[in-house]
Amino acid sequence: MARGPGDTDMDEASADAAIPSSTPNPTVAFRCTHALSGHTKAVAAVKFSPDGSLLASGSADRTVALWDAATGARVNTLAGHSCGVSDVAWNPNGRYLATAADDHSLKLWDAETGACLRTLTGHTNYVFCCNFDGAAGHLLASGSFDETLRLWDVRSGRCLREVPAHSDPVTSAAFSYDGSMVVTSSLDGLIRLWDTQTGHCLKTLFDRDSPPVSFAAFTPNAKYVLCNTLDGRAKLWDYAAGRTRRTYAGGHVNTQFCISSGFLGGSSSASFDLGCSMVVTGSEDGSLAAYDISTGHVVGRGAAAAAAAEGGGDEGSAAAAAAGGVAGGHTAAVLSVNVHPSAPLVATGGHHPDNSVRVWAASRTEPAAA
Amino acid sequence: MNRRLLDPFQSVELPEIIEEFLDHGSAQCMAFNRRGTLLASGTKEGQVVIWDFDTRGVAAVLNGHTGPVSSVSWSRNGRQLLSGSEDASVILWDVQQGKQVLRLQLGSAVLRVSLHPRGPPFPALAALAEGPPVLLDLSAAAAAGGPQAQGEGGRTAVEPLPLVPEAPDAAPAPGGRGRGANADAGGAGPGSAASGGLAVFSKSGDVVIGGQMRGALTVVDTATRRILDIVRLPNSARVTDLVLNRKGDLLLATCQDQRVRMFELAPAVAGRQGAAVAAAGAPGAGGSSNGDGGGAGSAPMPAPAVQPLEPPTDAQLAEAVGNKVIKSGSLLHGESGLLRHVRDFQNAVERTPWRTAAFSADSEHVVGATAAKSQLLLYIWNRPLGNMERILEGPKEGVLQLAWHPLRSLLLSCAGTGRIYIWAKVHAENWSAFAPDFKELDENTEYVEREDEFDWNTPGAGGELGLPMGAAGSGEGGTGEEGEGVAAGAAGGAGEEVDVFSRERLHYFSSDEEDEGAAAGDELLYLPVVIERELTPAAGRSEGGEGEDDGGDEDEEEPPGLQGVGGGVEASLAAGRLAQFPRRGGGAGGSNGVAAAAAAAARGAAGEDLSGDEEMRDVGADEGAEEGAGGGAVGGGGGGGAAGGRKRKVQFDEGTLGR
Repeated sequence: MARGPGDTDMDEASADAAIPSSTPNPTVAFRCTHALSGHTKAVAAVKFSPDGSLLASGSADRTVALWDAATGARVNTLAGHSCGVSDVAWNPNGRYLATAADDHSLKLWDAETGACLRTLTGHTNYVFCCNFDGAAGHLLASGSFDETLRLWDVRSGRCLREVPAHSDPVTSAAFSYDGSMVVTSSLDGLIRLWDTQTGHCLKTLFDRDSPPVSFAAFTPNAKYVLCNTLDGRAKLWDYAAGRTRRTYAGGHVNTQFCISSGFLGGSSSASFDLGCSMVVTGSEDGSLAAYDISTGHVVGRGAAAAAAAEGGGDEGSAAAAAAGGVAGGHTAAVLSVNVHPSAPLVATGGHHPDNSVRVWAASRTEPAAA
Repeated sequence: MNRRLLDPFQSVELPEIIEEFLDHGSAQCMAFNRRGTLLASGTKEGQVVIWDFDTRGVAAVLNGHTGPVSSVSWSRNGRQLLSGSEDASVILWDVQQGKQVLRLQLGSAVLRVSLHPRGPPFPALAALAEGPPVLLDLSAAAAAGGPQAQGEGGRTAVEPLPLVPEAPDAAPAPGGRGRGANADAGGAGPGSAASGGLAVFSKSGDVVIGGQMRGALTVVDTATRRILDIVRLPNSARVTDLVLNRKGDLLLATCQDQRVRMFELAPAVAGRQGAAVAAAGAPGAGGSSNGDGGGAGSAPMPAPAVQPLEPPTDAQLAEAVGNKVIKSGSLLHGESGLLRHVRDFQNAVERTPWRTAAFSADSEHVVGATAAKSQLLLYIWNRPLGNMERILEGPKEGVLQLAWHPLRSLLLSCAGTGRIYIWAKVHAENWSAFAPDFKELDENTEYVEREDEFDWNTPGAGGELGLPMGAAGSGEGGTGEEGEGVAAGAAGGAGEEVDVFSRERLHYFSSDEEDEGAAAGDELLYLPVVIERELTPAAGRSEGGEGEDDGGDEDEEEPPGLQGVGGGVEASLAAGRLAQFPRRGGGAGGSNGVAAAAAAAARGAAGEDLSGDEEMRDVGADEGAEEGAGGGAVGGGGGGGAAGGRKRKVQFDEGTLGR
């Protein structure tokens, strides 16, 4: 995928982006391998299981679907929430699944049988995000529109801690890999780091103009925090120093939704080489953008449906089609992005009326001669 | 990972109040695993309870003993646990699987067990109610045919430890008994001098330090069972408790003459770490072991400074034991003994008797618990200076055992009622963590405003509030770089690579805590989570959502009966977890009353009275109220204050919310 769709997108979407990325030729191609349909409303969250065999998608249609990550077959449906599901999370051994929903509750599910094991109640408004701790899986963090962060004991289902974390809805709550810290982000424009054991606030990160933060997560090595803000940027924070290390903008549009991001490539467990490690995030124009973590350049794009159709005769799309890709991308905003734990695969969830879950395969392309 | 953001002084501040208690069965003893992620407690009912210390929840319950569990001891990697019981058995557990690996039946009630710190294969020590402490060869016992092996087979699995030297000429030993304890496996008869003695392994496990019933500590070589030294205590004081610090170079002996005696171990005894420290020229100097020690890292220590230990001959021993001149100190080595007496900790005024003592995580403090049955008094002394720094007073319940969290400033005391109290520091909110432009001042400073600082329209000022440029950043340490840093990042970062994947090894202990790397790999830190299906109320709830047609494969009905047991456990858990102490003030009173009642109900037949709770309320009320109020206000206020000015409306499509 040399040029074409990517450029059109960028021009119309982010002409006003403060920092235009000087984009060399994309070096990573994203090819849509599966379009998984079945949800009847927007897909708010997609997550690969820790071993990468399953893909869970949570939707506003109140259900969570489990898909076989390789074949795209629907394996199971978890129904039980009385309102839409905003987030899903796998525990570290892939045995359990947690869901956060607008019915003010979280549920824990047995991933194999699909049975609901437990309902965690306590939040007083929509529960928007949840994550297990990665080390032991005995804690679940959840963030809600009631502006609190809650930590739950997974074994007993008790709420261990309720932290009045922000002054606006909490948009994400994620652990560092060793489980010692939780990062929360909120529409109030702040990112806060919390000590898991004591519940004390360790640090607050914010910019001078503090746009609402729609997503935050630790990097896999927990040295930095990646966040998405509703001014169409993603930022990498060096939280210890309290400053931004990198800003990623120009390749995606994000002003309305809480779009998640992921890290692709470079991991020690990864058996592939894409040339660089990337931040992958979704865009409200229906596309997928990948930035080189170090340089901040856009290195790859997964095109939206319209763009793909438009550039149909293009060499890039032709190549994608030839490689057996499913034609087209999302027809609506990409709400959720998740990267496969070991393979160069990215899953995305589309907003209404697209309602689809898509799996993209990333591959390295030779940069086209100028 | 949170270390970089934590106040470095936080981990060394002393505990002040009871923060929480653990209640599952009547705990009598407890021990942390090496990293403090799991806590094992042994109960009067014969159970061993493994607590997930992060969640303060029960991770596993191990059933096997028929009598009260008197002692538990972790292996270094946390995969094995040894428990000793008054039913005269010791059990080696596989913690992850929750199964017995080995069970040994001993001659009499087991008072204390100690697992070799460097196993496997494990030797272990067990102190008995009658007879001298015994050395257990667990691997031999296992080879001899599992559970009931008792000294048969090719090797002896149970061997009494010669704390009192064999003295053929019947010279009176310090213990007052001439004949040694080197008797047969049955142990010396009741009333023997070494009877009821205690023993602990040194840090390396190469030597055993034993405390005799009367007046002496004995150092024994683990491999050869030879006595290396005998240290006589003044007043022939009986030793009731022995504990080493984490580095293994200091020993606390709680004696019955109202003193806690601290000894410094000679490098040869302290083991490799002690040797390394001595070689570095700082013996016993650095208690702050959380800092980085030498640059030696985890490289194997050559230990050049250590002289090989020459066990004394029988004749020397006999002569030494017969020596009546030396009233205290080493009988064999004089001043340069293997155990050097450093200091006594005592309450000289009230002559308080001590039950047990412990070191703080950094060995900078020593805490002693009084022996009174209806008193929870903990004295905390400064270890290097010897002065008393704090007295903690808790519910009138007595203390059975103390444990200091290996990494944090948390002190656990096992109370006579079977509860484990967690003492912690009262948290002072760090306001600058909530708002980076908030700076905490230690003392007042006079602020000189600029001429035009509060003018309505200031040209060149930062933003509509008229604050000077850069004011927002002035709170943080590295203000200067901040702006530049952002600029550099924004410019596309021509700078260095950003690595978000590779993880650094986390150091939990100092580098002289050797071979951590080797151990870290197979260390068992957490038990796998198993979620039981919950009780019915939630099922009713989920029924509402069942209207969805998608749920064909669902069956929300809870199998009744399945949860009988789990539910019970959970109820008692919930009661035990009641974390906060009753607070002063009407609102909270109600809920706490209910909770207290629940706790009492959960313990039911145990016959614990409510008065315990009442008393606790008295004691804990003040701190509880303060802490609670402070915490609440802080959280809310901080969040609001920090963000108040920047609130903004966001167009948020309902679709994202999943509605």
